[in-house]
Amino acid sequence: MQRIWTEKYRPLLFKEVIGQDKIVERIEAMTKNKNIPNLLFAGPAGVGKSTVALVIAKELFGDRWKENFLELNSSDERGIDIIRGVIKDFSRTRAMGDVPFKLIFLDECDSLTKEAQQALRRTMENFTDNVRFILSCNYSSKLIDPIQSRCSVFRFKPLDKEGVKKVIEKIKKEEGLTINEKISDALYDISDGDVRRVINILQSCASLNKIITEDLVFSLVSAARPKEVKEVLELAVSGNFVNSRDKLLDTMLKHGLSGLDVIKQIQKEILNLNIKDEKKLILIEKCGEVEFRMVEGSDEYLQLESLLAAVVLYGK
Amino acid sequence: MSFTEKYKPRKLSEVFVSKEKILMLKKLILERKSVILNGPTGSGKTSLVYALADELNYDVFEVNASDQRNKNNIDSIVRPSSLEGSLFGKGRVILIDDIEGLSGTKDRGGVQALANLLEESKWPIVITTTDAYNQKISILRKRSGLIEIEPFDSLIIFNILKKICDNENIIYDETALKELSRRASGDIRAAINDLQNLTSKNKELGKESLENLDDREKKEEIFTALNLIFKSKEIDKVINSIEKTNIDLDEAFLWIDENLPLQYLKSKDLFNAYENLSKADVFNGRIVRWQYWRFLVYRNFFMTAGIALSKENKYINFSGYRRNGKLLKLFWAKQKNLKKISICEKISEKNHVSVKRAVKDIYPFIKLIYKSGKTIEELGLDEEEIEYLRK
Repeated sequence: MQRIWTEKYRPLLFKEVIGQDKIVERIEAMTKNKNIPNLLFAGPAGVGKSTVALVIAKELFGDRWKENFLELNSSDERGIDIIRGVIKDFSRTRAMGDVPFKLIFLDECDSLTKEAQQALRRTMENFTDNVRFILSCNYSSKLIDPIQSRCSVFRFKPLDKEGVKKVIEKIKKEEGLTINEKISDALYDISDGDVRRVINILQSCASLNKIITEDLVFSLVSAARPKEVKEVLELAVSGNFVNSRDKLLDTMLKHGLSGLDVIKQIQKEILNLNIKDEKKLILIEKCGEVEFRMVEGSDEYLQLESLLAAVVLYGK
Repeated sequence: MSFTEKYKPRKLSEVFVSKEKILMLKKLILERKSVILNGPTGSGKTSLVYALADELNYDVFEVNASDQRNKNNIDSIVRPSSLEGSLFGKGRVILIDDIEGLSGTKDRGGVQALANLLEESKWPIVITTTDAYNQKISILRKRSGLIEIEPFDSLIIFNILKKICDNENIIYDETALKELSRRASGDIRAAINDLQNLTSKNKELGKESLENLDDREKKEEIFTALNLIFKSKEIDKVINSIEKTNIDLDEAFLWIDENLPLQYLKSKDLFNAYENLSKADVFNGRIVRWQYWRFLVYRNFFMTAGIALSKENKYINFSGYRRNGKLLKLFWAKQKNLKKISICEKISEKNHVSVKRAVKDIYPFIKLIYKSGKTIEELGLDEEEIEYLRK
């Protein structure tokens, strides 16, 4: 059966985890002693937070890990009330086997509102007897202090070049791929140390050709990233507001982009525009103002339109 | 006499609700339990209650939006009739019609008083609503049964209208009648009212009659308002331009947004106008967030006077106004995205990531893999999903 490589190559044991050496060392010791506090994993995407949580569960509970491990995603589950209900049901029964507690892995905690975090904090207190929490987030600063203070915090780092290359090497051998040194350098540059991204790129390249060339990598990476945002901006610079905004709406809908996704790209692209630097400064300021208004709860599309109107005016 | 009154179902056999739902309701009423009927406007909730009461030979004690349903009234009017026996030993149903009418300030405490009554009442209480999941009535939901009433199928509406036409000797064009049925989007009351309005003059429904029904009046109104906003600079006239119409601010906002770049041709004007429209939108966001409705004044100001004053000179060109297609596009995109989301839910399950992240980071690669002709059986995608990915 053809599998998703990110799952196929997900480490099952502590010693297979690549990167995060110090963190793994400490957590492995805790796991051996069956003495785990509430944990908070902070760090960017694709660096091993979920993997380490899964390894802990497998090491602790062996074959019965699925019964004793609950995985929830804060950004998908509808609201803290649902999360609380699920947690309550799960923790009502005792852990199976000789481990005195069950594990709850709550992913993307930083997407919870402050109020929801308060509720979560109380939930964490109520179930200390037979449950341990592993929380994960991208930015620990987005979590309220009481939650941080109830957890041992581990900061995961993006993998370094050596780490990413190890991953590539392993997959290359197992799947019989041809990848030269230069290409694995390029893959590292593209990945920003995000292993999931590297593996996804490799699998989609390999589905076309087992001999992986630089062209193949770059064509796939750009195919997977919408480049229409750049075209939207170029249309605005050329003075064609109506086409530019129509293209904007189509692009957002086609790729399911949020206003914030778009403005991040626009902000980067503004620097590459062929206009005077003073005008770039004005546009970046407008960009910031529009982003602020979006965060405050305004209509994303309309706010982007007002930004495009600014690009039309200053892009001349 | 209005058709809606005249052709209201009086007997259970005339009601278009599934047998099982009628049985469910009957059972609850006979057990003297309370129940919420949830369904869109004009789906026949109230008629159902009356027809069923008729069959059971029950009286209906109805409280509707025209009565004030605050705590005092519930306690002083509804309560007694829910506790006492009825005349001649007949059974009784208490019907609280359209609970949405229970506004926050006027009917304060009404929901709570009603909730208490649900426990105590000797007689079954039926509550109708178009939004059973509203937070405001959650306490009622917990204490009642819930029956969903579906909107009318347009074919059923068509058949009902046809009968009425035959009965009233109305000559009709079949296509027009079908179109009328379709436009009602499941609201039988609206459909019957429209029929009566359109045929009141000469008892005839022709092909062109529907155009009268269309929002022709509304269009003229919005065009006048847009003319004031885009063509003039007289602030006192412009400020009231939208208020004077029946168009709500949200809809007017879409019209302005759509037509602004077609009217303001100088980029400086366009920039200023969008700056003001953006400010109007900011105030709208604040209204939603803080529930502070006085901000409407500022929203209105920026989207009317703000736009009018953004132009340096008046434009004298005339071009027609376009309807905003954004909502339609949003709708279609959502339909299209359903498949994508269901795929990403499967990815999310297998891959220990959120659906959101699956959409952003993983989906594009999965799509590429499927496009190359390969499959990933592990994901367990069905035929349709695979086809969607390969498209």
